[in-house]
Amino acid sequence: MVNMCNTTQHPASKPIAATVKKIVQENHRTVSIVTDAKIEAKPGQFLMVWHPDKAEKPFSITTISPLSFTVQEVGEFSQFLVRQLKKGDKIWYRGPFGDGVYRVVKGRKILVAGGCGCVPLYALAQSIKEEEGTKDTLIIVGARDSKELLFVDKFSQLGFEIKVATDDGSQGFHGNGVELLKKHLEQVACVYSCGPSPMLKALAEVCQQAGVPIQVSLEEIMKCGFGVCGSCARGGKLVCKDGPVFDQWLE
Amino acid sequence: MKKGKQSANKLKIKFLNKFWESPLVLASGILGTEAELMARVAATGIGAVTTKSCGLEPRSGHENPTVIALEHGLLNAVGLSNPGVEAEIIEIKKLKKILKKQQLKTKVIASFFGFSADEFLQVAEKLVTAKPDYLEMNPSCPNVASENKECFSDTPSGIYQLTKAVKKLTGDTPLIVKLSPNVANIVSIAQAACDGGADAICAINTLFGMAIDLESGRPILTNKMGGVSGPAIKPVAVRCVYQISQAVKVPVIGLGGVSCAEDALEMTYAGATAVGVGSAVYQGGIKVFSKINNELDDWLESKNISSISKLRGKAW
Repeated sequence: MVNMCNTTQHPASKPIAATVKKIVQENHRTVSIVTDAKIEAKPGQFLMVWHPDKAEKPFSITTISPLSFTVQEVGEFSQFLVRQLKKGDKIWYRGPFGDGVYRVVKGRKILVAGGCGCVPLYALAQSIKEEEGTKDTLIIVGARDSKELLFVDKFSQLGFEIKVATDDGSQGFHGNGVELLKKHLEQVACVYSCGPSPMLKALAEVCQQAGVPIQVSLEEIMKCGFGVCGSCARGGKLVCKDGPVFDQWLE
Repeated sequence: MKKGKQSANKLKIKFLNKFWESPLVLASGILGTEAELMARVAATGIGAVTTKSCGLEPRSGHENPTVIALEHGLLNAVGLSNPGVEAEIIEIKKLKKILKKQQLKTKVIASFFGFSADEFLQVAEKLVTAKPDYLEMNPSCPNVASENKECFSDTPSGIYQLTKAVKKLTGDTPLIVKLSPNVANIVSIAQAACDGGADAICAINTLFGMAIDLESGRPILTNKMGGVSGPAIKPVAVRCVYQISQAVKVPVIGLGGVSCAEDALEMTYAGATAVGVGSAVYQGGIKVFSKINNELDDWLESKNISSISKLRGKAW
């Protein structure tokens, strides 16, 4: 849309329409939606994705140029996005949101992804590769079973060392990502993570005991997405604005 | 407040029976969801924080999009999401405990709503047991208009009867009534609230508005319509405060689009005793409160004015 009123577009402004260029099947219930848009964003930031008369929900950014995001079927809206959205359709977004982002630190890094927690960590992995290459980083990708694994190929294509963990042992390490992490915690400068809350909580405890700093991306129910409504407050912090990435687990 | 500066007294005000550290108030509906978060806002040195309006039962509010930024403010239809009065009582008690522990003198205003007169009464009666410093009745949220069969803030008789009934249940806790600008004559509504026993008036709630996406041709808010706040509504708010404060004897909390010291002073000149800040958090973050406090302090110092209270109603 041509900006005829000469207004400034802020992340929180009216949704911007983009066109779906490609839909990539990532696993049996997850797709990446690639658009024709390009944005500037930092790893860990998220979008509010809207479809008129459907809903608007927060999604992590997978790539910024072209803008893409990844959707796993969990509720009504994600089911719509996964099953019904097709190439050529319009999709609307606002953002990027979140002041709390992943920062690349020097030294040995481990990224621990649980389920679709892979998405913001994939954005981080791209930054790490750009800033210092892939040598000092291990990526642990965990899931319930091999069918649920995500982005293993994507991380590999970037050239990182990958270890896989599945709860049922159907692929890679038999156990969850945090158990696998315990075996690799020596001389680590930072553990980066995103995934289900119980996993992040356990990971925070393990890292605290080992004295390893963490950067974790948290999830909360959001309304505004930019720090005014207070819906996502957690221990005095706003997950949408102060986060979503924090250097500690928040109760 | 700036460290080592004694002139902070310039900002002290008396609101009804209590002294406040500053005339600034966190407006209802902004960040007022959690005790720790409100304490974080209180620590900026403001006079009072208002909790997000609570009702009788837990309510998730409207589906997203619920809040969008327009060129000169926000448009929202959050839809009164709240944890219900029982949970809110626990949160207010927790907030008071934190404030005490941190030695903050910030006052607590507990906001509430109902979908019927009976609900307003039930919530007020319960909420008062949390012992907030003030209660704020919100009969004027524009986002649930279709659900709110009785529009109490629309008619003088409606607001009079509701205020009178609530006042009977709230004992010594002062009752602030928040008014909607979406009426033909806000002065008659304010007067009716005062006749019903309102101890203070809060003006204004959001203006009823909407925004449409041209690409899809659809309203952007899921609720289609919502409340406009922020700089766009400031002239309307100043006008309402100017009219109300001259017509009633009770103090007025003036709010609507205040985002800097000049705006707060304009509200004070219009007749506000205290000044609410809400949507300014969008651009300024939580530190907007200390920023306005400091700007006010500097301005009063430069003009050699000993107390902001002296400026109240200067424009009358």
